[in-house]
Amino acid sequence: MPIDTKRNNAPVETFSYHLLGDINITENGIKPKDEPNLITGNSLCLRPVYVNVGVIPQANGSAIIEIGETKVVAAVYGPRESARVEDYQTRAKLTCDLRYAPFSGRQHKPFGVRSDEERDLSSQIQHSLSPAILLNKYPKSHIDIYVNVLQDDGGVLAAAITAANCAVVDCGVEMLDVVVATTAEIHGASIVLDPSLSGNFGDRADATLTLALMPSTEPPQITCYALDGGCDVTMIGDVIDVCTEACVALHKVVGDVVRAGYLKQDIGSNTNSDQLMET
Amino acid sequence: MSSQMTTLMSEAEKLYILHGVDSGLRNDGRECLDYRPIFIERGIISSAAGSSRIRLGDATEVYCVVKTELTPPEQSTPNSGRMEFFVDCSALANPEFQGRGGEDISRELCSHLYNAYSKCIDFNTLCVSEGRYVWLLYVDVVVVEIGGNLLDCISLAVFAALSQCAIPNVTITIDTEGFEDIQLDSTNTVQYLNCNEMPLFTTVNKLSQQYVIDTTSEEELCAISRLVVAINNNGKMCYFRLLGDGSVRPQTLLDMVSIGQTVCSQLHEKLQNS
Repeated sequence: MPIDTKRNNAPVETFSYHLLGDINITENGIKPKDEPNLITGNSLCLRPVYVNVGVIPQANGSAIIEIGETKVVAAVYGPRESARVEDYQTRAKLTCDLRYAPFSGRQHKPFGVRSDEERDLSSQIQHSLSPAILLNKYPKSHIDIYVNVLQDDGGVLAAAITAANCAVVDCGVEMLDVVVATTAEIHGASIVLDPSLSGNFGDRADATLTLALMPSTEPPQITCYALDGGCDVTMIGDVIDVCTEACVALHKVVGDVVRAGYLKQDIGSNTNSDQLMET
Repeated sequence: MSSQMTTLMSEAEKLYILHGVDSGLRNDGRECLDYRPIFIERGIISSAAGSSRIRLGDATEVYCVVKTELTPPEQSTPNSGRMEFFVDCSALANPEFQGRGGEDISRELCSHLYNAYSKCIDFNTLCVSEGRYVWLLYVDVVVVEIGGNLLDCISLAVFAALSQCAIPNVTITIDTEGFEDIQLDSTNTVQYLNCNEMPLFTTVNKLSQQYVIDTTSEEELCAISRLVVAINNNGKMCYFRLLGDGSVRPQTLLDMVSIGQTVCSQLHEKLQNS
């Protein structure tokens, strides 16, 4: 039966088989996952990244990013005129709406009211992108970013920030730089870069850091710094350095894709297409 | 905070504050890293497990009350208790908060509290009977007046209320037919939470080139960016968020972290001695 979206539905009492054991279901049956490895040294590899822009032709700008198994799609509609006269502002209003698809996690998420986590992530994406976008060039308008998480395998906020940024660039809105973000986890004294939920590290990190950067300036500008969990203060500098290096590498990949997307477009289809980004 | 209350300020007023801060002077005569006088009252609501009232200077006032109830645990964590936070930005503080007006600010504050506490507290101490009953602490905050630095004030109130919070010891017996019988422990004792695990929040604001603690509402509007730091008395740093629409250099971030750490540990020390 379709869910009644006008009412607050009763709490859902189903649970996923993942609670019964850490397993993977393959064509050949159930395969137990390997025991989580004990973290000894640092693990500093980014998962394979796939970025593409212009994936939703109807939107003003769009992008999809796949980091390992984490898949996030972003679309931007704007700059659009504000309908109400009371909303007059000399800067554009940037709003961001992130949603998890119901099938994105291990447990099914019922569709309905936005959860607190989604609101928190939406506002973090908005705060991360505001310093980079030249909002004062678009008075009396609003730019809406919609992000949908298709699969959550760790590092969702970082993927969402990067995808949202690529979508805004694809839209032609003027920006200072492409913002890229990465995640790192701290296990004791070891740093694991870009961890995945389904990987071999278990999901018992001491702390998780998401860092978003504008790498073009020297030193780079940090636009988002979110650390959940406990860590030693001495580790903070190291983790920031690790994430910064990863962001710089990611920036090159993302920059190439975004530039290629721009050059493929017709000159007439986008009014701001003559303002190519210089890195 | 993402949705600021409408404190109106002209550009000239903002410049005045920024130039003052650059010279180490603030409007009310404090140093950049000084708190306003903090008044703490505990045990104001006798029917609650723990309660407190905090007044920060003459400007920000917050009540916090903790009530404990027994509940079945979540399926994924059968031997962990829970905490649920709720911040009520009441219309007493600002008429714009009437009805659902204060919901956005309230949600953001709850999210900071929840994320920090869920990483600090050992919730296994709140388990009564594994898989059957655990303690659920409802931590409710009522904001009566807002004069800047609301998050720090709320965190002080929550800390004060939780440190005083007395949870009665109960025993659960299951008879032969499987019926559960919950009784207060015959020893009539209570358990207290471990204060050393509980975090305190400090918001470090960057105004112009200086770092400022405990900002008034006017100073908050002039901040380029803010770093929220949560540290507990064991020195464990449990939560960081960079807020605001500005970006910072990595060195600035590290400076803000170290200032936050210093100030927060001083705050813990003062609270322990009070």
